[in-house]
Amino acid sequence: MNPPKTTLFSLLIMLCLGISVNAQNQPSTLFDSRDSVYMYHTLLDAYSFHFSGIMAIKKIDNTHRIIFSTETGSTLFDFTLTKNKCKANYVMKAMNNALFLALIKSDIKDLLQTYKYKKNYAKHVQEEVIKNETIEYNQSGDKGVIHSKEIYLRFSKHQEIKKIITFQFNSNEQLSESTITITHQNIPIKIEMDAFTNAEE
Amino acid sequence: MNKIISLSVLLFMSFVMTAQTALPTKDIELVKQKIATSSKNMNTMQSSFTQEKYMSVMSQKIQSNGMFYFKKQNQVRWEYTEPYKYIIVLSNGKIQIKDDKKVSEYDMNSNKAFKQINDMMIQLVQGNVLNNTAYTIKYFDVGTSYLLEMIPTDKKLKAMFSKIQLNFDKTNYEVASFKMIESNNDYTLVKFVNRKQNAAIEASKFELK
Repeated sequence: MNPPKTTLFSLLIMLCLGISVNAQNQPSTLFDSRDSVYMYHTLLDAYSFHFSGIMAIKKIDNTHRIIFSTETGSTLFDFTLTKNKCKANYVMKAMNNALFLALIKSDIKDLLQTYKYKKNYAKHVQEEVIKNETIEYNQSGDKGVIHSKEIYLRFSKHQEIKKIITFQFNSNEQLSESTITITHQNIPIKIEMDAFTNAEE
Repeated sequence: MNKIISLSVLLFMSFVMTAQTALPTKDIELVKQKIATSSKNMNTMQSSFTQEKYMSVMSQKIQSNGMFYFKKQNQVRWEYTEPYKYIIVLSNGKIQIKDDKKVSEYDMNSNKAFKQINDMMIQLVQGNVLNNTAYTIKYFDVGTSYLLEMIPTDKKLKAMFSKIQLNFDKTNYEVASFKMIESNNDYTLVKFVNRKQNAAIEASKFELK
């Protein structure tokens, strides 16, 4: 038996609406361009460790590749980030500490899942709550450019929520991030990233 | 399309392979002597440098440049000026690093990895790696220069590099460039430009404050 024409028509309308709603609800995230390699001179302070080097980020298909190397060219770590998983392809021995790596991977995942801008939103946006975690976006200007993202955590049912990580963005006119600072509030970890383009030979 | 690219790569590789000729044993000894004499006569060296870090997975080269200083016996300063500022000084058994934020200092003897890298860098610049047992070395003639291909035998160096290629200018037997190749074929290529040998270098170049 053939389905009624009205049902097919409704289905078509729903599909179109579905696609439209989906597109509106998923504004682009940082580092979303497939054509670009984003490069940052990066300082990484974690407890008594201080590293500096080049962080290169590229979107490849539906994953991101993140390579951090020293200024002199030695690779410190090489990660592949899929939707919810950050896999280490290589980690230099000096950095190979399980807790340290877990924190860095988590920060990179949170950074890459940050929205670039959100139109029609208020200045402070409580974006989402995942289990005990709340993410708050702060934005400004007509285009709703995100200038900071804060992650709060509720440690137990009766405790107040505590801010645990702050991401600060300083965008240029092209809305690509020129500087990014990631600061942990309760543990001594800070990552400072400063965008650059290649030197001319 | 992939076949065309593969064929092009093969053709290129065969060109490279024919362009570099393995040196006969008697010539190796002569080249080693000439490099040793050149190294012995070098008390200081200063030069501009360009650096290229190639990351295969990103199909991207990161290009930087700066100034390099060396003073016998073991004083080295790498100063990156573009596109970021970064200085690394190796002197008197310590490593000093200056980035945007601070000057960090490390004792080379307390960290074997640092010491090994330091020794390697100094030997690369001086060209006196030829008798180092941490590598097996192959010698090639590549036209205007000699190419020394160094394969690390040491476990720690092996973890960092699959091989290091050193290029010596045939006219003066000085290091013109070196290339450090990682196991995934990513590489860092450093080329020296406008080398000056045995000109005076201020002592302050080897002390960061």
